[in-house]
Amino acid sequence: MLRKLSRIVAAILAGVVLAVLGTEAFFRIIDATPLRWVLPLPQVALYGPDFDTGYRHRADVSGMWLTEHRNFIRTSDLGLRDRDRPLAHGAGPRTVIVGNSIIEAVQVSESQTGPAVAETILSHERPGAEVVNLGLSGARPAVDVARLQSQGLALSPDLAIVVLDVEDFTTSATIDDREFTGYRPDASGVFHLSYGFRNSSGYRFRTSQAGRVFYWLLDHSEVVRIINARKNVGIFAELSPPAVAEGGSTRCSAANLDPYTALFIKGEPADMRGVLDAFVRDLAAIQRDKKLPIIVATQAIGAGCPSLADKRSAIIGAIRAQIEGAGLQYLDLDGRLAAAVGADYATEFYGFGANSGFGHLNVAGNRVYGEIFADVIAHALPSQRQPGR
Amino acid sequence: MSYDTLYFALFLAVTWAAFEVLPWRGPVLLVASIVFYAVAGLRDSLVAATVILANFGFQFPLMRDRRWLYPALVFNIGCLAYFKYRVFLATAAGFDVFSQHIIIPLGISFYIFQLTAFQIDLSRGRAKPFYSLPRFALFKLFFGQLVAGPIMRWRQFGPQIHRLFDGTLPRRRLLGIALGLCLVGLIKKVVFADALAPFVETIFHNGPASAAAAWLGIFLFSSQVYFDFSGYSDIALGLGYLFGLRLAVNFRQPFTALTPQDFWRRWHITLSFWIRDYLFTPLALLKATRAWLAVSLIIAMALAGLWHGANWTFIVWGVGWALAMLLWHLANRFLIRLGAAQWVLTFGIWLVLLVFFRSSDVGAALRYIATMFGGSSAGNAPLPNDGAGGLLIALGCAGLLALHWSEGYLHTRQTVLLMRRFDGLLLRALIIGLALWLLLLPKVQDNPFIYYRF
Repeated sequence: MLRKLSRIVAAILAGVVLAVLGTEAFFRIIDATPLRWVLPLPQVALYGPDFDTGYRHRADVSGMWLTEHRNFIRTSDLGLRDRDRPLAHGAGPRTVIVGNSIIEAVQVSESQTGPAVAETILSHERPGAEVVNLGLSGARPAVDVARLQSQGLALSPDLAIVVLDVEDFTTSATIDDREFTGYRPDASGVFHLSYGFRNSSGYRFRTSQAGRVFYWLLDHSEVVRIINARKNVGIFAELSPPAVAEGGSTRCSAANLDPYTALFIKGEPADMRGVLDAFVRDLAAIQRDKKLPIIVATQAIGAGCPSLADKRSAIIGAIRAQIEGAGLQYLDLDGRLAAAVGADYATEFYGFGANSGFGHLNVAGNRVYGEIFADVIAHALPSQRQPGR
Repeated sequence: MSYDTLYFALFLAVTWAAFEVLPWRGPVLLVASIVFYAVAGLRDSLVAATVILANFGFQFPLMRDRRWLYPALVFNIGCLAYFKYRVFLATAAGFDVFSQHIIIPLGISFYIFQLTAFQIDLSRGRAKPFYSLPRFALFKLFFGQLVAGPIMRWRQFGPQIHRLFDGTLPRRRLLGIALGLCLVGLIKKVVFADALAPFVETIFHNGPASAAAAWLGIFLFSSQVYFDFSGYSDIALGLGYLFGLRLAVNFRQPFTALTPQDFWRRWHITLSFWIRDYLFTPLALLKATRAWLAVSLIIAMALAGLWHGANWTFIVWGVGWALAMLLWHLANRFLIRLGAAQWVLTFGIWLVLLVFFRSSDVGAALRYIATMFGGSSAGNAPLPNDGAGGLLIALGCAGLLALHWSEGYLHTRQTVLLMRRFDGLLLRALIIGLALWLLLLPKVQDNPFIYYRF
């Protein structure tokens, strides 16, 4: 009886092991050949734990990115969505651009990202000019500040551009620090960077010896990537209906700007206003203490709707007043984009293939962003780099 | 509930365990099938229940008087017309009385056709009535063929249902083969059909920028729709075998067909035979002239096209096939001399007509076809350039055709014997393991089975 049972168990185990090996071999073949541009694959896992922000790109990770648009991606030796470069400052001026997935631009190749395009343009006029991509998918204001403080300042930049998605000030996730750095209020109601994630079991695991083994496996095994990807989306993710992209007809709806009017002009809700004040305060402190010029660029306040022009203008005026009042520089990125390519730019610059107009910046969109960044940087940087920095 | 999801795998595992453990195999499958369909929603479930109940009721007067076939047909075709074609028919007749927003009940075209075939067979004495509602319900509701076929006849499926309820399984269950078919179907769907979908979407959505892009787009769509539907059909066959039921084969390497007639004996076989037996033959028998034969073929194929969807594109697609078949019928003596070139012609006709199948309207289809033959660009979608040169794309297309051709070796007696020889726990664990890894791989975009929408 026991013999029969052990034979059954051995047969099942052998089948399962063969299935794992077969799956591993199958996806490795795809990954190693041009088939990777067509056939399914587990998506590369780019991110790992970070003491300052909760998460960041891991160094020298490569693989296929699949969401929205297939792209072969490799993170830099510094652990950034950037080309390899030395940490030490070169001869030319160095700018860092901090932001979320719009700046990170994993859907296009590294040389096609906005910062890379800006670097190419600038280096024609100023040999050795560098523009470092500090974009990080999902980064909210607190992560932007923490990332600039840690990874950004480590690069000894001459200029920093912080690209802010103002929608982040309308979501409570901005004051949540359980997974990533967030803004939390102290006893007197003043918001500060907060690192609650450091006490989470997930963070402790990821930074433990077991976590390091897990990341090693993630980089070397396709089946581990499958398990990780499935864990991230949920076992029964297919039960939820897919999100439907919003049509362009609602872009010029007056209601779209109401939360921004409330926040930037009326100061409501109070907690988000507190986060905004803390964000501006912290950036101003970095600029003052490190003598680093900082430009805050806002996006997601749609330009190009004549019916909303007055409302938008009032919001932009309020944002500019607060940011410039703190000694920082301000850039209305949407306004610049509309001025550069016309108001109806969404279809051309966002999304890929059949999903044109929705999602992240495509190659053309990144190129326009890069041109704007290059222009802004060229005007903001002193003509010669200050010695000693 | 879609076959290519983890939750369906869980549902299947629970159903299979209950089927093995409990003594009521028929009821277990019926309950599972009801649960399977209930996921589609209350409205769809009510429509399906009403149609099944009504057809159950129609059997008995039909046994006494054949004229009861007509109200049964009016009811079935009426349901299909109302739920699927009301906007199209009203608009074609010049009325604007229905909302354009129409949600077709899941699988209605398939279950209406199966039930209609049953009523016609019953009236012709080729089927026996079901006196038990659960048996009749399972005859149509079995989740292995409920949503997208195969469209089963009573003589194929009815006796199997009875034996299932009577506790005498029709034949030794071939678990290794069943699981193998499910795995092959999953590979076709997840690895190939879903992978090709974004390329097809892009070229058809944005319009092809060149003739090469246009040919590539339609070739990829042809592969996508084949892998998608034949993958579904393989899984359906496998599910049948899992529960001791033998479902009809729907595909036999259609892209190797030498003539249009041959193509339709290999593509969606249960539908084409339905059209032949219940539409074309009765129509053709009305008048014994060659001209009427041709007219009957055109009408039958136009309706076969319309079955796929309420759009003129499908009608043009069907009529196009009828004309191709007539051409082969008339010029057979000449065409047969072409030898292998016949395959090129038939496959070319399939590709050109498929443009109508995929396009949103006839105008868009004509523009696309014009681009295929060197006309002006129908859009701005170029050949894919990510990591792929022209040679690699050509190699990939040849690879897809080679895969299709090699499928012939999968469905052979030797393969079945081989599977039976090695069938055992190890093989089953291996197949289940491979299938689960495919299901675990998250979907980058939602690609429901194409024929679910019909």
